[in-house]
Amino acid sequence: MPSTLPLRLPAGVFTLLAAAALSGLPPALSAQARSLSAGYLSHARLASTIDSMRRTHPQLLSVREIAQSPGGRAVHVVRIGSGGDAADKRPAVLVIANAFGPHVVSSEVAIRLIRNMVSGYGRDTALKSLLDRQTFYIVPRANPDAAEALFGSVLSERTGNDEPSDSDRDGKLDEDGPNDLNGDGLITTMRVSDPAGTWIADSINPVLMRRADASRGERGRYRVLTEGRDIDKDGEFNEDGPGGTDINANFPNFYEYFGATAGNWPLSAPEAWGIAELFQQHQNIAIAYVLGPQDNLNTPWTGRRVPGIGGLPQGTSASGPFTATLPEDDPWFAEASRVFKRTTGFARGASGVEGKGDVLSWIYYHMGRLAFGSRTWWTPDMPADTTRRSGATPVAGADPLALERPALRWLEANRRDAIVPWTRVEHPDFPGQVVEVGGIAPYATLNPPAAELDSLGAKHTRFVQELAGLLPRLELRVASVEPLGARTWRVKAHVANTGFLPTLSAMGSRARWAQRVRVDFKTSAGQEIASGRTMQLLNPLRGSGTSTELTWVVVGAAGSSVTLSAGSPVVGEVSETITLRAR
Amino acid sequence: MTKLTVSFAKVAASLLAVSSLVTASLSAQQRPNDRIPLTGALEALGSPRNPKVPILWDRWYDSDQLRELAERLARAHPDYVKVSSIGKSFGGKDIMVITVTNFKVGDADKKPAMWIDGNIHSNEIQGSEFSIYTAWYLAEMAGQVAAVDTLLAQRTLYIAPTINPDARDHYLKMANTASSPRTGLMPRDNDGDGLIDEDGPNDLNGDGHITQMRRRNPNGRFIEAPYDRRILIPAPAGTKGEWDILGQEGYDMDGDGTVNEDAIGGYDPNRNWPWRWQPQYVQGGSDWWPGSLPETRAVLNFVLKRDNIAGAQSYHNSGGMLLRGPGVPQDEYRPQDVAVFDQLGKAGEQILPGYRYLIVWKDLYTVWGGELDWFYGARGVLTFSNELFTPFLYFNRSGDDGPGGQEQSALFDRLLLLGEAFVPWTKVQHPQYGEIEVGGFKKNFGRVEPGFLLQSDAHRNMMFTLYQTSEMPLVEVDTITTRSIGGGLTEVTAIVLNRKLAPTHTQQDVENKISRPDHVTLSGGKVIAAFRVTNVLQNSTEEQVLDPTTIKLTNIPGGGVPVTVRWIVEGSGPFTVTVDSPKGGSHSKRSR
Repeated sequence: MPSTLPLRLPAGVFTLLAAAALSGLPPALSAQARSLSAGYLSHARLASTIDSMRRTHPQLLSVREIAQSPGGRAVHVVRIGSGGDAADKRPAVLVIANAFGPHVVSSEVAIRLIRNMVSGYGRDTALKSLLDRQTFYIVPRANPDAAEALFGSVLSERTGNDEPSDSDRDGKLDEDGPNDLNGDGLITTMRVSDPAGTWIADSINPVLMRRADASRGERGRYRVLTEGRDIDKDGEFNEDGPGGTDINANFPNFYEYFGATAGNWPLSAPEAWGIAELFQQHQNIAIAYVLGPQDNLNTPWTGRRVPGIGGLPQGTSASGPFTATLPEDDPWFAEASRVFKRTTGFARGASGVEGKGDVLSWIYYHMGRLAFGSRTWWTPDMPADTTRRSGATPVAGADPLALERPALRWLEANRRDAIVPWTRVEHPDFPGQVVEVGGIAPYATLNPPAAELDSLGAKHTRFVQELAGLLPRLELRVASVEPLGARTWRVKAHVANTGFLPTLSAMGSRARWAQRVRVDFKTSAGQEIASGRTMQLLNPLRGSGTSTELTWVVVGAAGSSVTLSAGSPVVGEVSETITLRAR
Repeated sequence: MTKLTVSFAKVAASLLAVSSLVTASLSAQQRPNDRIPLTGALEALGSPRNPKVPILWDRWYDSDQLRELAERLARAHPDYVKVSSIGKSFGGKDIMVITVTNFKVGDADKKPAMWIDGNIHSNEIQGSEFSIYTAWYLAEMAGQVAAVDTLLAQRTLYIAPTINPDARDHYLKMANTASSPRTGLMPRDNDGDGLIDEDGPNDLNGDGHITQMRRRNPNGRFIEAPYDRRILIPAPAGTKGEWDILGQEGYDMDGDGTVNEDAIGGYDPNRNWPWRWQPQYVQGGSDWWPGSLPETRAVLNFVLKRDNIAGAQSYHNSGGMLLRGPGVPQDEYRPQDVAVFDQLGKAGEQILPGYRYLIVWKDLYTVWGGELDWFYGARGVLTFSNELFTPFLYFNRSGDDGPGGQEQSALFDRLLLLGEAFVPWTKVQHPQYGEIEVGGFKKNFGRVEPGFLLQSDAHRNMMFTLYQTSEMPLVEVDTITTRSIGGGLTEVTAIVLNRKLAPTHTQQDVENKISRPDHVTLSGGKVIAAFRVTNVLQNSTEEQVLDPTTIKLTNIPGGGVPVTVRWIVEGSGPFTVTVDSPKGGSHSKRSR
C-alpha cells in the first residue's frame, strides 16, 4: 500500500486521483511541499518553543527529556503545575501527541495547549485553581524522527523512527525506499498502464482510482504502486524504505508481531520506552489524553463481554486477556465524549483507526488508566457533489470510495495544490509502458492548513480543562464516635468520591500498576484497636458522592485522639484527627 | 527485637565465613601441582583425563565465582573459550556469556549456534553449574574425544550460566527457602499499599534458611508424622492435633496485620518475555511490560543480533522435565517443528532417566511471556527448558515426586544425608506469636541435587543439550552435475542437503520470514537462468527470475532430504557452488 494514505484507511478504498480533469497543468514544484509544512514546527523549532515557554514560566512549567530517538532527537515531557516538584504529588493528566509520526497537527495542538494553560494561569481563576490542584504531563512530540519527514526535501509520510530495519526480512536494511520520480518533492502514487492491472479510474470522480469490479464487468487497466523504483531488484516496490519503528505500533497491547513497522518487540523503541516509564515515575497519572489516529471521543468505547479461550470469561490466565473494554467503564467514556463534543463543537467525525500496539489502548488495558483519544483534526464534511459529469454512471450498491469523496471535495475547495496531477514519467523498471505519477500529497488530509491551528488548539484546551475537572476527589466524613463502655469506642467513617470519574477504572482494578485508595487508622499512645484494620485498601469508588463505610473499635481514654487518612496517588490525600468522645 | 538483631549479625558473620571458605578452595584449585599427580591413574570414562582447570562439582558457586571459573577456562583454553558480557543486571553485575567453539575453525558468530542459559529463576541455581560444567567438559575434552572436536569445529555454544546474578547471590547468601527468591531484586510493591519490599521473611533462628514456624496447641490441627517425627502432617479426620503451623519464618514488619506479604522483588523473570506477554491480571509476575527487566533485554539484544542461533536451552528446576512450548494453548507450534521436538524429546528421555518430555501448558501450567516461547515464537528457534533434578533420583524410582513425596524426601534425608537436610525444631521468641519453634528442610534440599548427584545430573542434562546441538542444521553441497546443452551453455544441477535432524528454518521461521532464506550461489560462469527443481523425476521447476546467480531457498529440511537447484550458465566450468544458511552454516564444492 502506498504510504500516502490519510490515517491508513481501509485497504482497497484509498484515495488516488485521475488525470482527466487536471491534465495539461505543469508538474508542481516543491512549493507544494513547502505549503504542507508551512506554519508547522520542525524538531528544532519545537524544542526552542518549549524552551522559551519554560523560561517565561519557570514557576509553572518544567521540561525533562524522556528519550533520545535513534535519529538523536530528544523526546520531551513538559510538566505544568504550580509549586515545583510538589506538582508530582498531585493527581495528573497525561497528554501524548504524535506517537503516529505523520500526525504532526497533534504536536501543534499540544504546544498550544501548553501555551494556553501557562498564559491563562494568571488571568483565569478556574485555570489557576485547576493548576494548583492538578498536574499536566504533556509529551508534544513522541515520534520526532518520523515527524521530521514533514520538513524534508522529499515528503513522504514516514511512520517509523530512524532505527534501521529490515521490513521485508530479506537480510538487508532500508534498501528500497520510495523515489520522487516527477521531481515535485512529494511521494505520491504511480500507476502503470497494464492490461493485467486490477485498477481503474473512477467514473464519477475521474480523479479517484479504485479496484475494477469484475462482477460488474469492469476491466482493470492499471497497476498502482507507491512512487518509486525497485532499487534492490526483488520485484517489490518501496517495500523497505527508511523508517524503522512506528511508536504508535510499538506498545504491548494488541501488538502485531512481525508487523512491518512494529519494531523488534513491544517497547523496543526508546521513544515508546520513555513514555512507558512515565507511568513508573508518576504514579499520580490519573487519566490520559492521546492525540492520534485512535478515537474514543467521537465514538465512545462501549464494553463487551467477549468469550476467551475455551469460552471462559476473559481476564484470567486460562482464558486470556481482555480484547474489549469493560462495560463498567462505559459511563466514563460516554461522559468524556459528551464533554468533547460540547467543548470542541465537533459534532461528527470519522471513527478512529483500529489500534495495533497503539499507545491509547495500552494506557487503558495495561496501565489501567481511563484514556481518551481524539484524531485532533479531520477533513470536515463537505456537501455532496450533485453535478452529473458526462459519461459518469452512478455507483450501484456500496460505494467503495465513500470515505474518499468528501475528503476530495474538501481538498478541491481548500487545498487544491495538494492534488497532484498525473504526469507521465520515464520509468526504468517499466520500459515501454506508460507510467504516470500523481495523487494526493502526503500529509494533506491528516494535518490542516496552519491557519486553523490556533482555533483548533483553543478547542482542545477547553476540552482538556473540562476533562481534568472530572477527576475523582476524596472526602472523609466521620459518621459517629459511639462509646461502648468506659474506654471503648466504635468509630464509623465514610470515604466518599465527590468527583465524577471513579477512583479506579474497572480495568484499573485489574491492573497491578494502578493504586487503590489506602486508608490508615493511626492510634496514639495508650490506645489499642479491638477491631478493624490499621491499613486497608478500598475497592474502587464510583464518583458523584459514592462512599464506603468503615468501622473500628478502639480502646482508649476519652479525649484521646486517633488519626484517619485516606488517599492514593491519583486522588490525593485527605486526613482527619478524631477525638474519642461521643458525637 | 534485640534477639533478632543478634541473630542477623550471626548470620552475616557465618555467611562471611562460608564465602571465605569457598574462596580458599578456589585458590587451592589454582595450584593444581599441589594436588596428587594423576600420572598412572586409570582414567574414568566420560571425564577429562587431566583437566587444566580442576573444578569441584559438589557446591553452589556465587556469581563472582562463576565468572572466575569461566575466566580460568578462557585463560587455559584460549582457542576454545571466550568470556564476554552482554549487559548489566539491575544490581550492576555483568551478565556473562561464555562462547565455546573451536575459534581456529570458521567464524564463531556464523557457525550454527546453541544458546544455553541458567538460573532465570533465582532459586533454580543448578543451571549455572550445569552451564559451567558444559563449558568445562567441552574445553577439557577437546582432543580427547573425536565427537567433541567435530562439535567444536562445526558449532558454537553461547552459554550464559546465570541471567539473574543479583538474585542468585541473594538466594545463596541470604536466608531463603528452596523456592525463594524466584524474582529478581528490582523493588516492587507486591501488596499494593504504596510501600516497597517492606515485609519479607525473617530468619528468626539465624541459620541462613527460611524454614517453618510451629506452635504447640492442644487444639492444633497438626500432628507429628508417624514415619518421621520431624515432619508435621494434618491430624486425621476426627482426631485431635497438637500443633499449629504458622507459616514461613517471619513476622509482621509493617504492622498491617499480614506476615511476609511484600518481600524483595515481586515478579517472575520467566513471564517477562515479548511473546504473548500479558499483564498481571492474566499472568502473575509478568511485571510492567515485556522486557522491563534489564536481564531480559540483555538476552533479547544478544540473540536478535545472532541469526546463527538455531537451538536453545533454558535450565530451570525442578521435577525432571524436558519442556517445550507452547505455554498457552492457542499458541500452536507448527506440526513440522513438533516432529523435530518429539525426536529430540524422545532422545532426552533415554539420556535422562526419570525425566519426561512434556508441553508447558498441557502438562504443567499456562505460561504467558515465557522465555522458551519467545525463542520459538519470535525467533523460530527450537528451544527446551529442562526442569533439573527430580525426586526420582532419591531412590531411582518413579512416583516419589507425587503425593507422599514428603515421606520419601525425609527418608532420603535420613538414609543418604544422615539428617543434614533438616534444621531441627528450636524454640525462638516471636515478636507477635510469643514462644514458637522454627525448623524444617533447608533451602538447598528438595529442588537441587545433593553433592553426590550433582555431577551426574549435570552430565546427563549436558548430553541432552549437546545432542540437540549436534542435531542443529548443517548444510552441504552434496553433488554437482554438469551437462553441456550447446551454444556454449552448461546446465549445472546441484543437490544441497542437511543431514541433521533440525531444518535450516523451522516452519515458524518460514511462515513469519524471521531469518533470511538460504542462499545457493554459483560462481565460475555467467548465469542466465536459475531454477529450483521441485520434482526431479517429473523435471518440474520453478524459475527464479531476479538475481539468478544466488538461488534463495526458504528452507533446507533435515534428515538429508535432497534439495535440487539448477542454473543455465555461459561457460563450461569448472563451477563452484556455495550454500550459505544463517542457521545451517555454509559449504562449497567445485564441479569436475
